[in-house]
Amino acid sequence: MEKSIENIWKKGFINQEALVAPKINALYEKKSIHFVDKFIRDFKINLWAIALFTIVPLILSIIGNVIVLGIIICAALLYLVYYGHQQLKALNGLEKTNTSYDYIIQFDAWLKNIINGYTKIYRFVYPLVLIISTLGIWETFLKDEIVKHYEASELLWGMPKFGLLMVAIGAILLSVFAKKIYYFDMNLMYGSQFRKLKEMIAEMEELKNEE
Amino acid sequence: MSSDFYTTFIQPHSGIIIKICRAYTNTQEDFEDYYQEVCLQIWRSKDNFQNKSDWSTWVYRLSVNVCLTLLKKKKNNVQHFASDYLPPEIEEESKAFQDEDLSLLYDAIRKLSEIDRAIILLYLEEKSYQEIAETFNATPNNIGVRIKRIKERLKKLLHGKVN
Repeated sequence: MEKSIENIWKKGFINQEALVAPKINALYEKKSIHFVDKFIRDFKINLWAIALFTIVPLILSIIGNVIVLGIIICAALLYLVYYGHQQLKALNGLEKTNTSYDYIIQFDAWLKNIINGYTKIYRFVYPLVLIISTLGIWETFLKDEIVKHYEASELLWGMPKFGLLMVAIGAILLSVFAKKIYYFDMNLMYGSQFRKLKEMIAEMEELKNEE
Repeated sequence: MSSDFYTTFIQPHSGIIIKICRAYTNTQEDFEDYYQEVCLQIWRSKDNFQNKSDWSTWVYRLSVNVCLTLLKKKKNNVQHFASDYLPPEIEEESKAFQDEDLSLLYDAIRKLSEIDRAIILLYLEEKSYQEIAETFNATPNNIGVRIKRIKERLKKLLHGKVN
């Protein structure tokens, strides 16, 4: 008798062993590990991007002959990279043999910790970048042109008091809103991952409660 | 997911879920992942089930959609697992069935396009053209023609391999 595909199909599945379902366990085991691995990958790329970007202010500061300012910005950015790198080391210590739920909760705690840490750092880094960039631009392009339009009484440390006040207000605002700016920045980069993480934890908790 | 839910609503249909997942995966590891993901999606989406169709039809559709989504994700990550090329070591691993002919048939099914796989599985599960057409939003005539072509392709793929 000719073996039609219909016959092969029927005959093949007469044997019920062909239809043994895999055990449903550790439903999120791989998913949570993959999620964390993907985050680590993206985070490392981000750190590398910041590290490479430090060259830009350095080059600009050399061109503008304000190399000290360039080094300060460069150092601030490199500190961000260093901090991230140190935190990644802590992340490698997460216990992968824990249950998926514990693993992902540990990761969530790590994430909250690193976001808090970065928020604190950015309270200084954002204003610092503003002040240093303004100083750099002032020294390179504006100083000679603008100073002559001001009376000596309107200057402080050779700069217009009004300008200094504006930069000071800007720096304070950046420091105050550092958390919001940083969260906005993080959401642009990792927003979808954060949402997934939230959903995953909520779902795991629901699954746990139904057991 | 409660074991009650699994036993009552999923286990009776585990056969078709297994058949679908096998058609979209090449390794036992992937198969288990896909199976678990389908079960999880059924549990997640259970509240969306409206009595417009049978539970089994709904489970079938959902299983195919989950497999297609996972396959798409995987393709984006790993290009070399295209359906028309199976490395020998994976082909070996894909022989998850003791029945040699069934293994060969599955290998051939895996070489079809994703949609053709879904159609032929429904056909082999003895669903009517009408039911298949509803699943794919096509006419029964179109489905009939498509099934004929798929069967011809399968015969070619199996030529000389089936005892």
